[in-house]
Amino acid sequence: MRSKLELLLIAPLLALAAPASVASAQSLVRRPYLQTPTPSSITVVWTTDVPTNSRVQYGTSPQSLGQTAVLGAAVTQHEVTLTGLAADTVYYYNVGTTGAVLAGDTTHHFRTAPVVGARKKFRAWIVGDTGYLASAPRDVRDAMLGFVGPYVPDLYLHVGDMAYNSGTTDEFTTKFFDNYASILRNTPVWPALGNHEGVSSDSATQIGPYYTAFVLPAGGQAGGLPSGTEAYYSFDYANVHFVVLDTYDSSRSPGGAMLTWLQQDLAATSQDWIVAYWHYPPYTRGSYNSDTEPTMIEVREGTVPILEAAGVDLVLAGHSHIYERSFLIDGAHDTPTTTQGHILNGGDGKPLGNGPYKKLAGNVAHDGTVYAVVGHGAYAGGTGDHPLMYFSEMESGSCLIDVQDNRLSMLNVRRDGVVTDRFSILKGPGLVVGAPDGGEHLHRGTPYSIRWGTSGNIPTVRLEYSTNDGASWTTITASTPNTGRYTWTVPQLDSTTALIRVSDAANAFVADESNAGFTIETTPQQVIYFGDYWTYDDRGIDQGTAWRAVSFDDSGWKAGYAELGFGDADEATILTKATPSYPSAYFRKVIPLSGAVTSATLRLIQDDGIIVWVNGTQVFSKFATSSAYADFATKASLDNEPARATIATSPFVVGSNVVAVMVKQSAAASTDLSFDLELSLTTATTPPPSGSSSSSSSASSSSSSSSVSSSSSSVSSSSSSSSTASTGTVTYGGGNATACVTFQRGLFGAVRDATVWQLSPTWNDSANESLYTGQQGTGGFREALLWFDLSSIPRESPVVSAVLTIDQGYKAVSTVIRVHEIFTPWAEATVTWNNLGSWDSLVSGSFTAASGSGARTVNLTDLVQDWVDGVPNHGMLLEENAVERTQLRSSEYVTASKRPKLEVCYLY
Amino acid sequence: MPRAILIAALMLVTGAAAAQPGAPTDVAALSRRLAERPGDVDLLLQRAQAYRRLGRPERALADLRAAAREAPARREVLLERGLTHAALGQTALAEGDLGRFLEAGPPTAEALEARGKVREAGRRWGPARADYEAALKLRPTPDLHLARGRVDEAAGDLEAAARDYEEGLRALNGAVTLRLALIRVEAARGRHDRAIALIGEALAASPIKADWLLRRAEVHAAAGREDAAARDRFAALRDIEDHLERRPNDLGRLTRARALLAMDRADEAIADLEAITRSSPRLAEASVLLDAARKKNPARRNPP
Repeated sequence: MRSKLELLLIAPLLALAAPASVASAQSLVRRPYLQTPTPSSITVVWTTDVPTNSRVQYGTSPQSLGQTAVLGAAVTQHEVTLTGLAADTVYYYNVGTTGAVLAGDTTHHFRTAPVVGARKKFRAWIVGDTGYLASAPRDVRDAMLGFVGPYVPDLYLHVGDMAYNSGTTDEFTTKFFDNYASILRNTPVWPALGNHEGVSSDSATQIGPYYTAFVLPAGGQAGGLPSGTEAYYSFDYANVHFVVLDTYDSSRSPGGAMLTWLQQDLAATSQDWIVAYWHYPPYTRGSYNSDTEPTMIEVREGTVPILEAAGVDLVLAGHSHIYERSFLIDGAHDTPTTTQGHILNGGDGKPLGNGPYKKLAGNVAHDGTVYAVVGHGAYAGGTGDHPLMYFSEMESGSCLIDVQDNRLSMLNVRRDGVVTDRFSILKGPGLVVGAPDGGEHLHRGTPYSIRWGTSGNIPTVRLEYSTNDGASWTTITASTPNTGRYTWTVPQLDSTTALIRVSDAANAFVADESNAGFTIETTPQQVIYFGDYWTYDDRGIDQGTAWRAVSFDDSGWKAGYAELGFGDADEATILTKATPSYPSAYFRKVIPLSGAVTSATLRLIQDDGIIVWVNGTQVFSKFATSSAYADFATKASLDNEPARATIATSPFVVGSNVVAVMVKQSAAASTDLSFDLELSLTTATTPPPSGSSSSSSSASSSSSSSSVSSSSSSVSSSSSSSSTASTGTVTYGGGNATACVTFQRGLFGAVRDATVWQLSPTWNDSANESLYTGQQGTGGFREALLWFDLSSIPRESPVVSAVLTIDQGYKAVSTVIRVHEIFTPWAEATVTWNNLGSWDSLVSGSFTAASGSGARTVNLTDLVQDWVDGVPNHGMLLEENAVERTQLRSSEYVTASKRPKLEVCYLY
Repeated sequence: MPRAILIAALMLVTGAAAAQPGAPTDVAALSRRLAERPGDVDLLLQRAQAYRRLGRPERALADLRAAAREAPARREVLLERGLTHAALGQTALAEGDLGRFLEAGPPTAEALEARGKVREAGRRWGPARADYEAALKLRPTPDLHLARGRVDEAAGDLEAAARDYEEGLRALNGAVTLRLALIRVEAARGRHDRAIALIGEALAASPIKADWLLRRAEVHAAAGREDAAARDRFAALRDIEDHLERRPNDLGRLTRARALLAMDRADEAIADLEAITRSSPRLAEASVLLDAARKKNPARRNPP
């Protein structure tokens, strides 16, 4: 056990807020980090290169660090515990010696823990297996930071393996403390020992870099019963009891000290929630299989039963490099693991899906636990097919836990910033806000569908919003039937700290609010979409720099729809593959803008390196440091390496702009290239130019609006507001608005179609200018398949209308063609009668293929709404009875305007 | 000794667990690697350890035989074989291997603890205590403090046991496991006030007090203070009932069952315990308590 330095002095010295001197004889090795927060204390830790005494100056204002704690001993590992603090209060601090400040400015602050048992909203970041000196864990960290914005976590939970390979002092410094310094100075970390830490640190003696670095509550200082060791411990934070176990280096034997302590500790807690975490997962099929790993079997058979008897709610672990999240389960202790009788709730647990997992109020034994493996903090792999898992993803990322009273939510933020999983647990009667729940960008004056889940009988709800993080609230409606959704017109104001609160109209104490703030802003426009149309040059010619200017004449270049590239079989446009590969390929797209750009966001996929310019100014690069044609990328990327960035707005101008992109191979032997890009802009609203003619439809209209036919844009927004700007071929809307998008090959968006034929069951018919349905003579049935990429429509947008228009060739007899939803994926280039999967026997819509020829339409609003709401979109199947064969124009048809099109109008 | 050297020295002597940390323990993965390098002693030792921990000691011994053939001088083979023999209940073989391991080089806590357990199982309290004592010098864990005290209790030396637990309690930040052991010993040797004081410290810090109240009741009863004991039992039952209203979990029910048994309400206790053993069959303490309760109430000896 590391001996603790005696606190020699905590004196109300009149320390100056501004440091009078700057350290020169010593420097920081590890910047300050925070340990063992309680409602009245916290320990500030840092390390120096030479032994010095220790001083922390602190106070509730950055201008007045009026309290000082000093330790006189000369040490390099500085651990100063501040006591007598106020609960749930922000303190600013600096660290150093009695003669100098080594670190501390307005960014150095912490918040003490809330009073134990308080039903205070808080957020924890949980991550595992991060300990590499590589871009992956930094990307994971940055994705989390990008997602949370100002709503940074209150706690940092680490499930172990924070310093590969051996958890040495240097590895801890570079791979953990350096990597997370900007987080650690504000957010206390609560670690669990991983096996890689265990290489250099010994739990029994509590000696080694892990035990030197961390100050953990062996004596129950932060709640819970004393374990007597820092190897395993518990702590209380707000109304949650956290249990941290050492599954690597302490005895896991039933009756042994750790499990004996665990049972006593759990029996003594009166907290509302129990969350436990450690390193070795009881259930996984990631980089390890929990049915064949002895340690995992021991944990499952010995530790889990105690926790479930105590009513544990959430168990987190790492070690296995994967993200896996279970259903609500109980009692699956046997080996091999089976599901029978153990899945208490087989739903997805999502407030916007099957609804939150519901548990009884209090903490009830065997009422269900969610188990998650979060060992994906850097890398991920495995089969991901564990039968108890609702969701598995072999991608790196990390998780956030939000707790509010009787609601606990967790979400997974993937390395690319996408939230891929989200679930909630609700105890007893209550409400859970599903959307907006934090991080969303809502647009002023537009309709937004507030969504929530309910447990218990709550017939009517009250809805309110706050634009100042809950300091004050404005009523949206005092009482509305509890249908789980409400269309709200977002107010005409800006906020980055907006919240929604839903409460029982008859009992304001039954309520929930957004876990974190969302943004209200003017409407950003996607001026370039994934799947958009680009000009490109893949001839292996050095274009110099002139091609990056808007004035460059690219009429001699080719053009096609993204994804552009070769070698991965997922391209919409296949570029020339030379041997050896050309180092660089060029892409250009001209976009018109009507107003000054106030924010700009890029999302893209690349393989391998990429550089992006706007009007000749470089705004982004990844894996490419040279813009010379002949230079290769600096490293090989993933296939379809994702990236996201906020870029400078200064290069954009009102009028024509060019986005110029150079994609680079990693080497001459590279076998693939990929590129696609999305650009979203927020522009200052300006009055419409005189004489502009924006198309319009009212928000309540069920008819489709016209689309703008242009090779460079394809979205139209309608508005009754006078604050609408329009220019060229793009019309932007403000105020209450319906956006109408026309998806059609050659106009906008990726479209795939093909015909499958019973008589030639292995033939792929996707290059034909026609699609067919029906049967002619004994020719066998034909069925037409169609898929439109609707990913550009914001998820869960209310769909006003969705109309499919398809051009019919001449026929003599009228028949009825039915449209069905396809349930399984299919590929345009390979689909056949035999390999086509299942489709819905129910009819989503139908139309008469009348005698003669011409355009036919069918209303598919409900089907498209499902897809926009998140039902997987595998497209539609068209079929008819065996009366006559019907010929329909396909997306290969030479006249682009007669290709199938889907016009979708939605509220935004 | 400089800390870095101390760490290095300890790493050298803390045995196989620290020598091969992070290595894959999946038998299939190890077997694949062994197929490529069949004579790799490190892999053989890792797989033997994995087999032992999976409850397949015969396979472990086969690997250890192969390892011994490849590297007869490797003392780690002796350690792993000793641990495997111990797992098989072959105490003489286990003690022999562990002894040879300890004679062949610097002691490790793992070997000492394992041999201590073998000796303890053979009721050889003195040698077992010596092993635990030596192991404690290398690894002052709660488990070892408990083991040393346990053999002193078994040997009837309650004074030594109390000293052991007191030492552990001081060294390990008031670990609850050692506190429980010390309370038991102090009560057993008639030092009721010390036991009550130890309980009082825990009682003050515990959000749920029923377990500690029941322990105090036992001490009061042992001291002949039946009124105080009855008051504590009643308070414990009330506390746990309140708690179960909000947190009806099996650990709470277990406490209630203990309270009911202490109040001679065996029928109700048995009902609780039967429910617990159904829903939490791996909660060993419930099964033990249920057996005890049925003995107190023969009418309920045969469950429906």
